[in-house]
Amino acid sequence: MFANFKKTKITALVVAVSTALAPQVAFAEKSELVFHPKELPTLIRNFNPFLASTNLHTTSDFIYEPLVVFNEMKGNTPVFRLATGFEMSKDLMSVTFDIREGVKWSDGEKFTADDVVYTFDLVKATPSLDFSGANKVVTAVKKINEYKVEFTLSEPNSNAPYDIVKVPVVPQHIWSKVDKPDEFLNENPVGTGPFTAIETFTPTLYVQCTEATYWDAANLDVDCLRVPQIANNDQFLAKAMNSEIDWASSFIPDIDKTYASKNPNHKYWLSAAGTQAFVVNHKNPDAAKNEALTNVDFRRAFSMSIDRQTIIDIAFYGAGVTNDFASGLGYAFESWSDEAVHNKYKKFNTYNVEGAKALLAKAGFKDVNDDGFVDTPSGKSFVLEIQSPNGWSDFNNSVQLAVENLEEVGIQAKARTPDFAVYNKAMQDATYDVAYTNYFHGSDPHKYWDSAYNSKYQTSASPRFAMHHWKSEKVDSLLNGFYKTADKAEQVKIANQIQAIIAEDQVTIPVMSGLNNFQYNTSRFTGWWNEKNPQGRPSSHAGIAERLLQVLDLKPVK
Amino acid sequence: MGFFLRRLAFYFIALLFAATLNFIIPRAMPGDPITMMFANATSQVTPERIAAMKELLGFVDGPLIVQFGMYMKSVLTWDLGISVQFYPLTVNTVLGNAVGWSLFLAGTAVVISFTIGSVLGIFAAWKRGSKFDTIMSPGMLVIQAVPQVVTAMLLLFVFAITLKWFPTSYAYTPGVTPDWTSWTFLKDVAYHAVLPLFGATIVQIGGFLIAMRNNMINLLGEDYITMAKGKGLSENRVVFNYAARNAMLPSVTALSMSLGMAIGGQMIIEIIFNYPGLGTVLLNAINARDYQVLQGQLLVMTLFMLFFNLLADMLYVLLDPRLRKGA
Amino acid sequence: MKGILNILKNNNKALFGSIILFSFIFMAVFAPLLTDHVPNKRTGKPHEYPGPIVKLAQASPDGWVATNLAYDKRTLLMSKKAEHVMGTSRMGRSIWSQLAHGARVSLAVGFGAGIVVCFLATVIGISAGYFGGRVDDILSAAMNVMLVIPQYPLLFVLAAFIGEAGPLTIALIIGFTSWAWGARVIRAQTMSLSEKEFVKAAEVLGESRLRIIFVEILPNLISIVGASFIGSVMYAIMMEATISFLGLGDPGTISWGIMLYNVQTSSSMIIGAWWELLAPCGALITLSIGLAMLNFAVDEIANPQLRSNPGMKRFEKMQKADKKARAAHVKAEVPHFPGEQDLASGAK
Repeated sequence: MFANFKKTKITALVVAVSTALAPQVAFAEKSELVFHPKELPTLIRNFNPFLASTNLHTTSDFIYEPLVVFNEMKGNTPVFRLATGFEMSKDLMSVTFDIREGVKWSDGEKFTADDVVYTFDLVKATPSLDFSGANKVVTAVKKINEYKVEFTLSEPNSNAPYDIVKVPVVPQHIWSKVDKPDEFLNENPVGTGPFTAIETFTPTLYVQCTEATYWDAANLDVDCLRVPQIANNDQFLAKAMNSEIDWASSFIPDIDKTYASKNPNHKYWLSAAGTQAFVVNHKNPDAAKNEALTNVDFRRAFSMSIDRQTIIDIAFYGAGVTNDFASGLGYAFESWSDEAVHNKYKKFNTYNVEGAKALLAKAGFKDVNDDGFVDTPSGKSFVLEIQSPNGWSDFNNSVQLAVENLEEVGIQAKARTPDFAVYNKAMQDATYDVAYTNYFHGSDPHKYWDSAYNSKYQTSASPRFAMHHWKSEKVDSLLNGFYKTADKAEQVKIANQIQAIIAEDQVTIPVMSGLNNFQYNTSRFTGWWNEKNPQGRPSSHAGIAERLLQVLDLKPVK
Repeated sequence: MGFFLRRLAFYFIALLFAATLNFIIPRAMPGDPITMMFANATSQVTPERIAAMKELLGFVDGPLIVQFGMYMKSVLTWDLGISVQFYPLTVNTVLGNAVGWSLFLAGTAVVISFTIGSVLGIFAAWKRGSKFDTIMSPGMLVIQAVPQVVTAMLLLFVFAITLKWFPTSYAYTPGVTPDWTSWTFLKDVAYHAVLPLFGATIVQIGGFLIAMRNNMINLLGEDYITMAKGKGLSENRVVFNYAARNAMLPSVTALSMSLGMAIGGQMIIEIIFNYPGLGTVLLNAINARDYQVLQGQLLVMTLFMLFFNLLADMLYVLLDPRLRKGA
Repeated sequence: MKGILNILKNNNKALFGSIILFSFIFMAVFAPLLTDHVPNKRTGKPHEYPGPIVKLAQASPDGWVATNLAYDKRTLLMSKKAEHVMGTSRMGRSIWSQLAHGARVSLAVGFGAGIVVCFLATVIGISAGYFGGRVDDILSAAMNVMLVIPQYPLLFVLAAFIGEAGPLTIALIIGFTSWAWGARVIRAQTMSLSEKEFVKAAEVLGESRLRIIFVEILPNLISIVGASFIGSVMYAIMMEATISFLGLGDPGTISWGIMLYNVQTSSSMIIGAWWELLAPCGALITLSIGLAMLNFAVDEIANPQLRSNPGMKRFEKMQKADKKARAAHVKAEVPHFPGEQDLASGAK
């Protein structure tokens, strides 16, 4: 009886709800793009472009258009947006930007050099707004004329324009009246980008539309971004499978089966991303572990024991490319590789159980106490703890698989998953053994190498990436000099020297190059970038400015 | 009156204790919220920016006793700080957005389970030893013994994911502007609440059932019941007018306390169904190591417990004439 | 021993509960012998169907099993060897092996925390109830404070801050935060016992306080302590599952809670890997039922008047008179916690 009652009531409810929602589900005259930039527990109306870690991730690029978008996939080609050009001085100590004329803020005011100067002065005066680290690069900003701005740099730096354009330019006539810009929610933003009008805002959905003031309206065919709140991957999956998302860059397990097979319009494109590696502590406080980890043959044997393809297949559902570069470079930067170096050390970074065992034996690692695992040449036994941050399940799984691999060749290891803060602290303090991490990569290999091997990033305030605690003055000076030249041939020469040193010492244990996730749905829009039309990185994530270019390429399906 | 003053004093001490605990726990553990905040930052974070953020969020250096003093002052003035995860929102706002949904879920679940449990309990006591009693009474307690995480996951898997009868998440259809006067919106809220409510209700019925049953059994042996029976009143009347009414007293006070406990107890259900209540906030705060929110959360939950306990005290005095006379 | 056997023979609930509990203990102890695969290594393909399901699906490709349970052709092909009785997880690990080995952790956490809770509750409860005065004031205040601090958030926050909580940590934090309810019940019971003639007599005879506690009072509390123990074990097993599910546990251990966590992190429910969800859920439900049955049995032995079977009228009457006297006493002491005997709901 109870069951019957419930069923009829439920059916009534379902009907009622679906009729009530009908007008909203139907995509009205406006072409709305359902966009998923980030998983959020609830939507907070925060469009402050400087609060990059807490604002809504449609703020940069879509409300505050960058001066220039550097298209990484096209070798960092500048695509000029609010600027029409820039010029470096001969000594690489300053750079001048030409500001585009005719650009308007969404409230109708003119966009000029004053706004640019104001923004950089604001960031200088309020360091907590400096989310991209621009203050370290730029020391002063000067208005040359209404449409020309000169930036003075702290050191010769050919990469400075790349850093400068990460700073969102805000309107002086609004922000100069804001009392505390670092606590400002900017609920009704005035911007220069394609989607500046917030038409709907609820804790579970917001819609952000274009306005007549947009300077590049001729090239824009999408009217609005529709952003639903999605709290976790399962919810995203449910929506994506239902064709409720047009554009996302989230992780989908077993993507062919769970996503692509559900609808012929479900498409995806995985493009190469940064290196992922086991970071090894070269300054371990434990004598036995230190003896093992500072032994280059041990590190090579470790690397040979890792079954990279299985880690990619199981932990990453096949989304990745093995990385067998002892320098950690990865196939994404093959054009920068010195193939002689790559091939020379390739065998140490390819799965080979017997080879690993032989190399361990050769280096003097024997099982002295008969526990089934090797001990150091001086006879000490050790258990390597391999850490990955709690909750990063693909990393956790990779580590578990690596532990199985290591035990196969006789190295005793244990997987640990401390909280991220603890994981990070152990790396900064050099108290960990081995850690699994990803690296972010830039337009050339410099960003990866600099973040991973430059000893200036081994302080207690630096991120996890350089915490090998391995130091080479030669590498430091090469990295610091990389952007002192703007000549690509010169940079390649420097790159060759760097990779030779790192590869010879097997500083790190590279595993794979990750892939950029990108899923798109062709039922409502066409013009997506993909393997046949690789115009750039089509990530929906904030921080990847190419997403603006992707939006401009989209056309609604009639 | 003295009784109340004593209870109030006790609740105040309990609150201070909870606040102290709140202060100690995060400081005794490793980890640092600012680090967590920058975990996935795509660019190098400068030490200056970290320092600036720390200062902004109130992580000041200084002797512990000074920090404690500042903390206590902010607790007593109900200034719980700024959330790291939702910067620059205050903890009050973050929790405030969630409290309503939690109270709604907990309140409805407690009322429903109280009603069902009490009715079943009366029958079980009346028909003591019958098939109904021997199956229903322990049966409901057995259901209660099953971990909520299991019940909730099974409900989600069967009714939301497999059968698709109910939504998998949210308190109402995303994108709808909440309008509490609109009948359609209320129906939408009800539709989304079915599974979480069912999960929160089913585990509470057993407690109310047994409490009612045991109270009734004790009462049915009392002299005045025997007298009522002797006077020739019908059994129905005796059971419902005399015994049930009196047996209800302790249950009503238990009801109030259950509310306090339910808000904490149902957190796992909110998490599994992505219901926008305090549980979901807590999980997000844990994942983001949002200390300020975590501390505020524990404090708010304690306050709820204290409030509903106080309410229980008052109800008890109000409903039990013996105590009223005594006080 | 004989007494226990007798109880089992006469009490169906006790018998049923013990059978379930001992099956799980058996499974935990002999886990390595009962399973063909190690639980923490990849022994198969990711997400293989359970063996029997594969066999049934292969036998009748159009049957109910093949169309409803093993409907994914690719997965079916991957699991064609049908080596894993309960299928495999995302990581290609045997679910059955994880379930059996996981029983060790879940039971150990349950009993470990149960012992801690019981010990603390008994010591604190008896001390407060028997010594009275200042001791009682302080201990009662501690109990009351612990009771009003919400358990779930406190446990989660503690586990979160400790980080990567292993089974031992989980057992300890459960133990140290959950003793208050038991202590309160034991205190009340101790107080009423210490008013009894035999205790008064022992005092007059000049027996030491310790002797009175251990010889006169403690034996009369056994049933209450027992019920509180079983309640705590249930609670601890449930909390372990919950804490681990939330990702606050150590994913390196193998427990039922971690299995649930893996279900969540590998999106198994959405992908349709139902066996990965049902195995730990089934185990947790069965064990909970078993423990609940044991709890009823202990309750019935302790409070025969609540027993469902009629009869024993005279004994019941006597008990009731005693109970009434006791209840009046208890009520005056703690007016705000009715229905104390109900430990099953009390454990929450």
